[in-house]
Amino acid sequence: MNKKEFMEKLDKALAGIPKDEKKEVMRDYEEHFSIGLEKGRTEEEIAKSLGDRASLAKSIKAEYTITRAKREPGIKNIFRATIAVAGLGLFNLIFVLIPLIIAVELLFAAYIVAVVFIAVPFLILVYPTSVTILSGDTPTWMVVAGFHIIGGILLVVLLYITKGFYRLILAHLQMNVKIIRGE
Amino acid sequence: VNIQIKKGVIEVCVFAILSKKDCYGYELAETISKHVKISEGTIYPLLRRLTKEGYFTTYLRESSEGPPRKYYKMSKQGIEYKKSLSKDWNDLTKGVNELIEECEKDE
Repeated sequence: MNKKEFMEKLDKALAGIPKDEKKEVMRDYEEHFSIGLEKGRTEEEIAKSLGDRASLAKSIKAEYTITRAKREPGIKNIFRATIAVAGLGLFNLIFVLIPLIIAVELLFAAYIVAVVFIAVPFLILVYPTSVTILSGDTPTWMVVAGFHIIGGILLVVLLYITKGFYRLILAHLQMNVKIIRGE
Repeated sequence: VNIQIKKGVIEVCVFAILSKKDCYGYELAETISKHVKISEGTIYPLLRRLTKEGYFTTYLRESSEGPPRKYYKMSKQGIEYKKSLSKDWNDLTKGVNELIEECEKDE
Protein backbone atom coordinates (compact mmCIF):
# COMPACT_ATOMS: atom_id res chain seq x y z
CA MET A 1 0.00 0.00 0.00
CA ASN A 2 1.41 3.41 -0.94
CA LYS A 3 0.77 6.77 0.66
CA LYS A 4 -2.16 7.67 -1.58
CA GLU A 5 -3.92 4.40 -0.83
CA PHE A 6 -3.29 4.70 2.90
CA MET A 7 -4.60 8.26 3.05
CA GLU A 8 -7.64 7.46 0.94
CA LYS A 9 -8.57 4.49 3.07
CA LEU A 10 -8.06 6.43 6.28
CA ASP A 11 -10.16 9.27 4.89
CA LYS A 12 -12.97 6.86 4.09
CA ALA A 13 -12.73 5.13 7.45
CA LEU A 14 -13.00 8.48 9.22
CA ALA A 15 -16.35 9.32 7.61
CA GLY A 16 -18.68 10.92 10.12
CA ILE A 17 -16.22 12.97 12.12
CA PRO A 18 -16.25 16.71 11.36
CA LYS A 19 -14.06 18.18 8.65
CA ASP A 20 -11.73 20.14 10.94
CA GLU A 21 -11.07 17.15 13.13
CA LYS A 22 -10.46 14.93 10.14
CA LYS A 23 -8.16 17.46 8.49
CA GLU A 24 -6.08 17.56 11.64
CA VAL A 25 -5.79 13.76 11.79
CA MET A 26 -4.92 13.51 8.10
CA ARG A 27 -2.34 16.26 8.53
CA ASP A 28 -0.55 14.25 11.21
CA TYR A 29 -0.22 11.20 8.97
CA GLU A 30 0.71 13.38 6.00
CA GLU A 31 3.56 14.80 8.07
CA HIS A 32 4.62 11.31 9.11
CA PHE A 33 4.86 10.22 5.48
CA SER A 34 6.83 13.25 4.35
CA ILE A 35 9.39 12.94 7.15
CA GLY A 36 9.71 9.21 6.52
CA LEU A 37 10.35 9.87 2.83
CA GLU A 38 13.01 12.46 3.70
CA LYS A 39 14.72 9.81 5.78
CA GLY A 40 14.86 7.53 2.79
CA ARG A 41 12.07 5.09 3.57
CA THR A 42 9.62 4.06 0.87
CA GLU A 43 5.91 4.85 1.03
CA GLU A 44 5.14 1.17 1.39
CA GLU A 45 7.48 0.79 4.35
CA ILE A 46 5.95 3.77 6.10
CA ALA A 47 2.37 2.64 5.47
CA LYS A 48 3.22 -0.78 6.86
CA SER A 49 4.88 0.59 9.98
CA LEU A 50 1.87 2.81 10.68
CA GLY A 51 -0.24 -0.28 11.22
CA ASP A 52 -3.83 -1.14 10.52
CA ARG A 53 -5.68 2.03 9.54
CA ALA A 54 -9.14 0.54 10.09
CA SER A 55 -8.49 0.06 13.81
CA LEU A 56 -6.76 3.45 13.93
CA ALA A 57 -9.83 5.10 12.45
CA LYS A 58 -12.14 3.28 14.84
CA SER A 59 -10.34 4.45 17.94
CA ILE A 60 -10.13 8.02 16.61
CA LYS A 61 -13.88 7.99 15.95
CA ALA A 62 -14.85 6.54 19.31
CA GLU A 63 -12.65 9.09 21.04
CA TYR A 64 -14.32 11.89 19.14
CA THR A 65 -17.94 10.85 19.68
CA ILE A 66 -17.47 10.57 23.45
CA THR A 67 -15.88 14.01 23.62
CA ARG A 68 -18.83 15.39 21.74
CA ALA A 69 -21.45 13.66 23.91
CA LYS A 70 -19.78 15.27 26.91
CA ARG A 71 -19.70 18.70 25.33
CA GLU A 72 -23.18 18.60 23.81
CA PRO A 73 -25.37 16.36 25.98
CA GLY A 74 -28.25 14.73 24.20
CA ILE A 75 -29.76 11.37 23.47
CA LYS A 76 -28.58 11.48 19.85
CA ASN A 77 -24.96 12.00 20.80
CA ILE A 78 -25.11 9.34 23.50
CA PHE A 79 -26.39 6.82 20.94
CA ARG A 80 -23.68 7.84 18.48
CA ALA A 81 -21.01 7.35 21.12
CA THR A 82 -22.45 3.99 22.12
CA ILE A 83 -22.44 2.75 18.57
CA ALA A 84 -18.92 4.03 17.94
CA VAL A 85 -17.62 2.31 21.06
CA ALA A 86 -19.47 -0.87 20.16
CA GLY A 87 -17.77 -0.63 16.77
CA LEU A 88 -14.43 -1.15 18.46
CA GLY A 89 -15.66 -4.68 18.83
CA LEU A 90 -14.08 -5.58 22.12
CA PHE A 91 -17.30 -6.09 23.99
CA ASN A 92 -20.66 -7.25 22.86
CA LEU A 93 -23.08 -4.74 21.43
CA ILE A 94 -25.87 -6.47 23.36
CA PHE A 95 -24.31 -5.56 26.69
CA VAL A 96 -24.31 -1.87 25.92
CA LEU A 97 -26.98 -1.02 23.43
CA ILE A 98 -29.84 -3.19 24.74
CA PRO A 99 -29.63 -1.99 28.37
CA LEU A 100 -29.42 1.56 27.07
CA ILE A 101 -32.57 1.14 24.97
CA ILE A 102 -34.48 -0.49 27.85
CA ALA A 103 -33.43 2.23 30.28
CA VAL A 104 -34.43 4.97 27.84
CA GLU A 105 -37.83 3.31 27.33
CA LEU A 106 -38.44 3.01 31.06
CA LEU A 107 -37.50 6.63 31.60
CA PHE A 108 -39.78 7.68 28.77
CA ALA A 109 -42.72 5.72 30.23
CA ALA A 110 -42.13 7.28 33.65
CA TYR A 111 -42.09 10.75 32.12
CA ILE A 112 -45.46 10.07 30.48
CA VAL A 113 -46.92 8.96 33.84
CA ALA A 114 -45.60 12.13 35.49
CA VAL A 115 -47.03 14.37 32.79
CA VAL A 116 -50.45 12.64 32.96
CA PHE A 117 -50.53 13.01 36.76
CA ILE A 118 -49.70 16.69 36.51
CA ALA A 119 -52.41 17.10 33.88
CA VAL A 120 -55.15 15.52 36.05
CA PRO A 121 -56.73 18.88 37.05
CA PHE A 122 -57.06 19.74 33.36
CA LEU A 123 -58.24 16.29 32.38
CA ILE A 124 -61.02 16.49 34.90
CA LEU A 125 -62.39 19.52 33.09
CA VAL A 126 -62.71 17.40 29.97
CA TYR A 127 -63.89 14.19 31.68
CA PRO A 128 -65.62 15.27 34.92
CA THR A 129 -66.70 11.73 35.89
CA SER A 130 -63.30 9.98 35.64
CA VAL A 131 -62.08 10.94 39.11
CA THR A 132 -65.30 10.27 40.99
CA ILE A 133 -64.77 6.58 40.25
CA LEU A 134 -61.36 6.66 41.95
CA SER A 135 -62.06 9.01 44.82
CA GLY A 136 -64.78 7.12 46.75
CA ASP A 137 -65.32 9.02 50.02
CA THR A 138 -62.37 11.42 49.65
CA PRO A 139 -63.33 14.81 48.25
CA THR A 140 -62.58 15.03 44.55
CA TRP A 141 -60.43 18.15 44.83
CA MET A 142 -58.08 16.31 47.21
CA VAL A 143 -57.59 13.43 44.82
CA VAL A 144 -56.98 15.83 41.95
CA ALA A 145 -54.49 17.89 43.95
CA GLY A 146 -52.79 14.71 45.13
CA PHE A 147 -52.24 13.48 41.60
CA HIS A 148 -50.97 16.89 40.56
CA ILE A 149 -48.43 17.09 43.39
CA ILE A 150 -47.23 13.50 43.04
CA GLY A 151 -46.78 14.08 39.31
CA GLY A 152 -44.69 17.16 40.02
CA ILE A 153 -42.47 15.34 42.50
CA LEU A 154 -42.08 12.43 40.09
CA LEU A 155 -41.01 14.81 37.34
CA VAL A 156 -38.31 16.40 39.50
CA VAL A 157 -37.03 12.98 40.59
CA LEU A 158 -36.97 11.83 36.97
CA LEU A 159 -34.93 14.84 35.91
CA TYR A 160 -32.32 13.95 38.53
CA ILE A 161 -32.32 10.30 37.50
CA THR A 162 -31.89 11.27 33.85
CA LYS A 163 -28.90 13.44 34.67
CA GLY A 164 -27.24 10.75 36.74
CA PHE A 165 -28.05 8.15 34.15
CA TYR A 166 -26.42 10.25 31.45
CA ARG A 167 -23.20 10.57 33.40
CA LEU A 168 -23.24 6.87 34.19
CA ILE A 169 -23.50 5.93 30.52
CA LEU A 170 -20.67 8.30 29.57
CA ALA A 171 -18.46 6.93 32.33
CA HIS A 172 -19.27 3.41 31.19
CA LEU A 173 -18.38 4.22 27.59
CA GLN A 174 -15.15 5.88 28.62
CA MET A 175 -14.23 2.89 30.73
CA ASN A 176 -14.75 0.66 27.71
CA VAL A 177 -12.55 2.85 25.55
CA LYS A 178 -9.91 2.75 28.25
CA ILE A 179 -10.06 -1.04 28.39
CA ILE A 180 -9.62 -1.14 24.64
CA ARG A 181 -6.68 1.23 24.86
CA GLY A 182 -5.32 -1.02 27.55
CA GLU A 183 -5.11 1.34 30.49
CA VAL B 1 4.17 -8.32 22.82
CA ASN B 2 0.55 -8.33 23.97
CA ILE B 3 -1.20 -5.32 22.40
CA GLN B 4 -2.85 -4.11 25.61
CA ILE B 5 0.44 -4.08 27.50
CA LYS B 6 2.07 -2.28 24.63
CA LYS B 7 -0.46 0.56 24.57
CA GLY B 8 0.23 1.39 28.19
CA VAL B 9 3.96 1.16 27.61
CA ILE B 10 3.84 3.60 24.68
CA GLU B 11 2.21 6.17 26.93
CA VAL B 12 4.98 5.79 29.52
CA CYS B 13 7.59 6.16 26.75
CA VAL B 14 5.96 9.28 25.31
CA PHE B 15 5.95 10.99 28.70
CA ALA B 16 9.56 10.00 29.33
CA ILE B 17 10.75 11.41 26.00
CA LEU B 18 8.74 14.63 26.16
CA SER B 19 9.95 15.38 29.67
CA LYS B 20 13.41 15.76 28.15
CA LYS B 21 12.57 17.78 25.04
CA ASP B 22 9.77 18.80 22.67
CA CYS B 23 9.33 16.36 19.81
CA TYR B 24 7.27 15.86 16.67
CA GLY B 25 5.25 12.70 16.11
CA TYR B 26 7.67 10.98 13.80
CA GLU B 27 10.54 11.58 16.18
CA LEU B 28 8.58 10.03 19.04
CA ALA B 29 7.61 7.00 16.96
CA GLU B 30 11.20 6.57 15.80
CA THR B 31 12.70 6.87 19.27
CA ILE B 32 10.24 4.41 20.78
CA SER B 33 10.69 1.98 17.89
CA LYS B 34 14.40 1.76 18.68
CA HIS B 35 13.53 0.17 22.01
CA VAL B 36 10.06 -1.32 21.66
CA LYS B 37 8.38 -2.80 18.61
CA ILE B 38 5.24 -0.72 17.91
CA SER B 39 2.77 0.17 15.18
CA GLU B 40 3.87 3.75 14.60
CA GLY B 41 0.36 4.86 13.68
CA THR B 42 -0.97 4.29 17.19
CA ILE B 43 1.14 7.15 18.48
CA TYR B 44 -1.08 9.79 16.84
CA PRO B 45 -4.43 8.91 18.45
CA LEU B 46 -2.57 8.72 21.75
CA LEU B 47 -0.99 12.16 21.25
CA ARG B 48 -4.36 13.62 20.28
CA ARG B 49 -6.04 12.27 23.37
CA LEU B 50 -3.30 13.37 25.77
CA THR B 51 -3.28 16.81 24.15
CA LYS B 52 -7.07 17.09 24.53
CA GLU B 53 -6.75 16.04 28.15
CA GLY B 54 -4.34 18.92 28.69
CA TYR B 55 -1.07 17.05 29.23
CA PHE B 56 0.56 18.43 26.09
CA THR B 57 0.36 21.56 23.99
CA THR B 58 1.35 21.68 20.32
CA TYR B 59 3.05 24.19 18.05
CA LEU B 60 4.20 24.17 14.46
CA ARG B 61 7.79 24.78 13.52
CA GLU B 62 9.23 25.11 10.03
CA SER B 63 11.77 22.51 9.05
CA SER B 64 14.65 23.03 6.64
CA GLU B 65 13.35 20.09 4.62
CA GLY B 66 9.68 19.57 3.83
CA PRO B 67 6.51 20.89 5.53
CA PRO B 68 6.32 22.35 9.06
CA ARG B 69 6.32 19.85 11.89
CA LYS B 70 3.90 19.66 14.79
CA TYR B 71 5.82 19.65 18.05
CA TYR B 72 4.41 18.36 21.31
CA LYS B 73 5.31 20.13 24.52
CA MET B 74 4.53 18.92 28.00
CA SER B 75 2.24 21.19 30.06
CA LYS B 76 2.47 21.72 33.81
CA GLN B 77 -0.26 19.14 34.24
CA GLY B 78 1.75 16.79 32.04
CA ILE B 79 4.85 17.18 34.18
CA GLU B 80 2.84 16.30 37.29
CA TYR B 81 1.27 13.31 35.58
CA LYS B 82 4.66 12.13 34.34
CA LYS B 83 5.91 11.93 37.92
CA SER B 84 3.09 9.72 39.08
CA LEU B 85 3.21 7.67 35.89
CA SER B 86 6.94 6.99 36.30
CA LYS B 87 6.41 5.98 39.89
CA ASP B 88 3.53 3.65 38.96
CA TRP B 89 5.67 2.15 36.23
CA ASN B 90 8.66 1.57 38.52
CA ASP B 91 6.47 0.02 41.22
CA LEU B 92 4.79 -2.18 38.67
CA THR B 93 7.93 -3.47 36.97
CA LYS B 94 9.69 -3.94 40.31
CA GLY B 95 6.76 -5.94 41.67
CA VAL B 96 6.41 -8.10 38.58
CA ASN B 97 10.17 -8.76 38.40
CA GLU B 98 10.25 -9.77 42.05
CA LEU B 99 7.35 -12.10 41.52
CA ILE B 100 8.93 -13.72 38.46
CA GLU B 101 12.23 -14.14 40.31
CA GLU B 102 10.52 -15.76 43.29
CA CYS B 103 8.59 -18.15 41.08
CA GLU B 104 11.70 -19.14 39.15
CA LYS B 105 13.58 -19.80 42.37
CA ASP B 106 10.88 -22.24 43.46
CA GLU B 107 11.22 -24.32 40.34
